[in-house]
Amino acid sequence: VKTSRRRLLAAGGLLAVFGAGGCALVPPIPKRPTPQVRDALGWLQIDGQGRVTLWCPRMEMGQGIEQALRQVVAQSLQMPPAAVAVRMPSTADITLVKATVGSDSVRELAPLLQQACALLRERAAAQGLVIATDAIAARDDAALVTGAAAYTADIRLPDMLYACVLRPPWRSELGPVLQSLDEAAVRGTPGVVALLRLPQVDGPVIVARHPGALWAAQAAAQPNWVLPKAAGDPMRMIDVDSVLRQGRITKDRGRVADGAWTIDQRLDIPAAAHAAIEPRCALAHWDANGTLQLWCGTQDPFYVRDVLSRDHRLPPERVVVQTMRLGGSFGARTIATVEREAAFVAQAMGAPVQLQWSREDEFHGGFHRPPSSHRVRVRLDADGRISDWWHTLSSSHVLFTNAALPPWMQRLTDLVGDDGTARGQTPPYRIQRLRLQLTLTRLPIATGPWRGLGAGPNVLAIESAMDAAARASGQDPVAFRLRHLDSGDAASLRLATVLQRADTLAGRPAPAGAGQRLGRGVACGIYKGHSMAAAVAEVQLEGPAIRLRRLVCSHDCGRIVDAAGVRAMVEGNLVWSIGMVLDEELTAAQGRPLPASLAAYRMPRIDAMPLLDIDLVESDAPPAGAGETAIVAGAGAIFNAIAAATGQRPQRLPVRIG
Amino acid sequence: MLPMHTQLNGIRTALPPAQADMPLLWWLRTDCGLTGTRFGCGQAACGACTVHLDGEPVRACVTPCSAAAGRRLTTIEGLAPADGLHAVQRAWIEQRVAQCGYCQSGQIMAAAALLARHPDPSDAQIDAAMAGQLCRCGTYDRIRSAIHHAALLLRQASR
Repeated sequence: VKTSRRRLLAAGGLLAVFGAGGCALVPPIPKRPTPQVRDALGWLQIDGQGRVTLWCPRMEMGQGIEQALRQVVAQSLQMPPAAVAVRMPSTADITLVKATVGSDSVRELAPLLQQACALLRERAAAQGLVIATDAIAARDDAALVTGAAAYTADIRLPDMLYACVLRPPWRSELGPVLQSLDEAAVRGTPGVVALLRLPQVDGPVIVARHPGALWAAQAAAQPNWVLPKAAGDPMRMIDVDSVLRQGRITKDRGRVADGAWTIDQRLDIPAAAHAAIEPRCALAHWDANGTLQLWCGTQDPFYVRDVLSRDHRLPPERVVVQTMRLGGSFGARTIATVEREAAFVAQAMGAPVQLQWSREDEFHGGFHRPPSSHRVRVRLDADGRISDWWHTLSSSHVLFTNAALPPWMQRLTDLVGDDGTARGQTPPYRIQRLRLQLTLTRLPIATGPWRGLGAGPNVLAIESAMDAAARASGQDPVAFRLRHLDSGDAASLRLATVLQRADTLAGRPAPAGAGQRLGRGVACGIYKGHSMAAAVAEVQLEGPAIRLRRLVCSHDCGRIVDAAGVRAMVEGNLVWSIGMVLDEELTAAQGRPLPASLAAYRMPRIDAMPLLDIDLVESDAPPAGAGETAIVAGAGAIFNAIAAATGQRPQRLPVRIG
Repeated sequence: MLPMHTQLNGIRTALPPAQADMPLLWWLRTDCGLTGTRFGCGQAACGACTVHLDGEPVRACVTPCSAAAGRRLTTIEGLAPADGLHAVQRAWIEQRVAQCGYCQSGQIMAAAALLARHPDPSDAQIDAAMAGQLCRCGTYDRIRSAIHHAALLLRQASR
């Protein structure tokens, strides 16, 4: 009783803190009003010639939202998609919108845009305007294949300067100390105009007239950072069996019966980087009236605006954030980082400043998918059905990220759980008794949203346990899952459908050659209740080498607006599935992320690509997201295929055999 | 010191004499206004800055300006003939390869160099030539098919 009351109080206090709106460090995914038709009308413009322009209310970062919304507008106005111009707005162009997160854009915006288009058509007709149908908007793809300027770093302003931060490899909260720096070498580099120490920036700032001078000065700087107090190893800090021994549980739901377990298995999943190919960048310019103009690629321009207005005690309308296309993001750019640094440096220099993060900055200054350690226990009854399911998940925070919350607010949120970390932990299957435990531990590294939040790791742990339970009881893994999807609700039916379709489409693998071991694995899952995917993987083992031969995925995200865009999202999720199981690992034994370069951080390359079969199931459910769905199926399928081929279930990712 | 010259996208251009060691990337992006060559890692690890020197793909982020002296330097902006698009660019649009697009200049430059050497590459040749070009959106499957498609377009054009 005592604990739950404390939790309640903490949660109430939290709402009050966040509701006050005066704090710069609000959560990375703040509550925003649900958009109305009048907002949607503001995104649409029609000029005197009847040309239609859409201010894209969600940020384009490769998920294809510009194209999807262009199709919605084109269909609603009965015009060709190429006739709709789509532009990235600034915070002065549109009313407050939500962040681009959670695969929610099409689901939330398509119906609104349809209504707004109907109104627009009436208004146009009343004014005697005919909607122009000539193709005025060259597809973005044309610009993207010719190298046209599109990203923040491509913008040039007169007299602009270039800056970089000599950032510590540890988070500033841990207290890293700069022991030495070759200041003379930095200042002596031709083109360098300043070496700044700003209290709001984590390390010394080099400012130069040319990025080439920055490159040379950075190489000459030789900063030597030390951490006076040792930091712990995240994997040890979250060890699920230690957590269970200590009884250190943040949230505990449901109960199971006592008795022996059919399956009792552990799975450890390391931290992972976003590794978008564009390192983040911002261009800040204080104009003559003291208005801050800032160009950046961000998932949440209004959050950036509000943080900057708070930093500089400006009314929000005196900060204008011009959004730019993002060169990938995957959850990384949901907080304000490089944007704040650029604004402070530009203020100090009295000139426009482009601040470009290095690749190392991305690893050291960004946040990461938290590592997780799982123990899943499953008991089957005499009939081979699951009677009890107990999943202990030990990880760190995602929504209440330590990258944006000050320590006092981290302590406050430590008691209330984290729905981001727990996303996907509830199995979609009908199970008699279910116990779900979540333990959250603050780690030395920064952790936060990463594609799918907790759903990728959590559903993988579930699907591995399902696979193990089926095999332990001699049941077919597909039939076993279908037995537990018999509750008759719409989501179970849709999941069963994609599972059966993927299984049929995949067929049976060709027989193994001499010296080869083959494995077929299946997995499925639901993302956020509205999108479903199932996958079948075929792997081939030759010595220690794991080769993924084939990956089949059936996917249902409701009514499809842009099929090519959905297919691309499914492909991307499958590539991330490969990386998650076979490649990606960020360690931090000394409290700093390693590796910190793309040369050493392993992720899938073109030669890892298997034969792909993607089956888009068009159900009559409302259109929903595809950006984070297939990873819940792809990773489990690959993992289970390896377990089938080796006859052993790996206990940690990335999987290594031999 | 006499300025060194390079043939940049077909135009004789003076290289920066004082910064012979500076990576080409910064010169192209800042002094030449050719921002299609992207910065991704600064360590030749991702391929986003791939350009051609005498038709061979190189990483502009680690190639000093001096290396371009007396050679043909081609960037994504100079890949296409004056009157249209290169076959690789057309194939890329037809197959809707690009998602965020950030790595795609480098992907296209690497693919064009591959097709110049191997007009009809196998999947294995594509993998070997393209394995250093990272794409985090995961467009690899479409990159493969677009390269095959571009090869077809080039063969049709040469007939």
